[in-house]
Amino acid sequence: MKELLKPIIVLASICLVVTAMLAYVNQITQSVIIKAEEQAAAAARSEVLPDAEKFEKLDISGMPEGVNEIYKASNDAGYVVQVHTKGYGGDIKIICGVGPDGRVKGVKTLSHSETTGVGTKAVDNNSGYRDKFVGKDKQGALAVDTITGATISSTAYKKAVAIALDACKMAGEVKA
Amino acid sequence: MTNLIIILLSAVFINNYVLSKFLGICPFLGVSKKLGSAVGMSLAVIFVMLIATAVTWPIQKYLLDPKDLGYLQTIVFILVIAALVQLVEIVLKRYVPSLHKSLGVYLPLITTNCAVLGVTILNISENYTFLEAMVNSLGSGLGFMLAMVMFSGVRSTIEGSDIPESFRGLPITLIAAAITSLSFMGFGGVIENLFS
Amino acid sequence: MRTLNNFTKGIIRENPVLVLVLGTCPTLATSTSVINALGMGVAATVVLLFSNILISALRKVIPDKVRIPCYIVLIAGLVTAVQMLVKAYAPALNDSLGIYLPLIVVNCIILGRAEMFASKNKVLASALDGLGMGIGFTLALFLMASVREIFGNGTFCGMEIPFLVDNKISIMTMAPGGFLVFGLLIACVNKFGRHKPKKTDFGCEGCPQADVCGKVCANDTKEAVKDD
Repeated sequence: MKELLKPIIVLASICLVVTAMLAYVNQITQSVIIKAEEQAAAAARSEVLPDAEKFEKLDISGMPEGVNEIYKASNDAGYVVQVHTKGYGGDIKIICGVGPDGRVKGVKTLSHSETTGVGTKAVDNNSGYRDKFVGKDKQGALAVDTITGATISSTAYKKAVAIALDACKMAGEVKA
Repeated sequence: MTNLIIILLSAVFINNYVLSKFLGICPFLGVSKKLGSAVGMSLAVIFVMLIATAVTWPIQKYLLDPKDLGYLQTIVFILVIAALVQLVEIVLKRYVPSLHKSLGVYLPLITTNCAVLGVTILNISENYTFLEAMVNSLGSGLGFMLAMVMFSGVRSTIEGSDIPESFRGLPITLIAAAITSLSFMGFGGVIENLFS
Repeated sequence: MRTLNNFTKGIIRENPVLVLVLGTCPTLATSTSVINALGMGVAATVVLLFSNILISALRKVIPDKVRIPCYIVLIAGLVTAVQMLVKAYAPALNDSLGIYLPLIVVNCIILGRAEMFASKNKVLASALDGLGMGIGFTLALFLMASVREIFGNGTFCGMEIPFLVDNKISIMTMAPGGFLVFGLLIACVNKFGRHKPKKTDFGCEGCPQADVCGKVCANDTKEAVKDD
């Protein structure tokens, strides 16, 4: 009997202790992780819309599909929209700043899983592709050239920017 | 539907687990000497990947996420996979002895195979639906098989050649793997443009 | 003297990556840049150190039958803790290591040392063994990453190197480059290492996990011998 029980007891108690330890570490790090994520998000927002002083999160129902969050600049410098679209390797998450004139101020990729050397020609922040959208409206954004060999990735990127522009137009009409 | 085909094809060719993500290198180098073992090992991997995904995906979505226990992911997944492998072995031995005979020896190897744990975690982090996750697992497994089978052919050719002493064994195997991986990069643009 | 030996053997003579050929997956995957490699090396070293200490301390308590599940739970717990700490205090590293951070769980170096060393030795010796192996792992990663980053990206730790930065061999940072550099490094170790390579081939016979993971390779080896 003892032979049978001992392994079970030992294994179960190890599981218990390890889980308790993880819960403890999680409690400590959780707030730090959230803070770090918020900081990174705030930095990304100011990068794509540098004129804005402060952001206020809008809560509008019926946003186009793919919109995660939309922020309005408190000094009427425009909007910042976080959008995801399906790329080639998975979701592409971008953040897009839009000026009050409805034109793109800046775009930044937050996360992606496109193929290195292929899809990254479009989604990588250093590839120069994102600069092509600055100053474009929806029509202009959709007319940006797709990158040869990375059609799906660049199309997804363009679509994301277009969705962001749509969302801003809606937010402007709603006048939250 | 197109979506699923893209996931499947890119898992096999582009994001090949062995040749571009470097997951499951140990069996890739260790068990690819003979075609028979390569096929057996790959079949066992496909089998376990599918079952593991079918079990871990619901666990994450319906048990860990609602209870805010996402941080237990790694520990739960590896235990589930280890238990599953044991279970599958017992069930196969009891009810399908013929299959057990061909796959049995490979099963215990798989618990600590990073490709299996990798595919279950990636399915969650990529936000796949259940169906997409299953297709991705199937594709990843098939990709593993393709790499293993191709590479066992390459290795049998290497065996018979005259190689400088320092390169004998592992180094030349790795360099052959580099060239195999290079050839897979050619698929890069192909599938991306198939459906556009 | 013997205690010190436990520490130093992992660094060069029994280097886990270049001599024992363990943990190949993270070695190939995270050696694309020096920063990544060091991050991975340190994370794995921390896990290895604590898992060796814990397993050695518990070696009399853990029954033989369930030792592998026990080790896996302990290691997975440590890995998750490290993962949360990295996420909290070095989010950029977490992003670039991605999936390979949780996959430290199945790094064969860690389970291998637990099974081969920590389960049979005292706590201090195991701690030194873990630390030495961890440093050896980090060193090998650093070496590989240096080669790949310098030639593949023209940079070292992000600093640009004149001439090379304009003449990048991009393939080095991609997947094939990983295999290639690793193969060349091991060839160098074979050539210049003081010990002639005993193993002529890669296989499970050299892997400390061979007992754990089954007889498949043993069979393969036997067949190979018969063929000869």
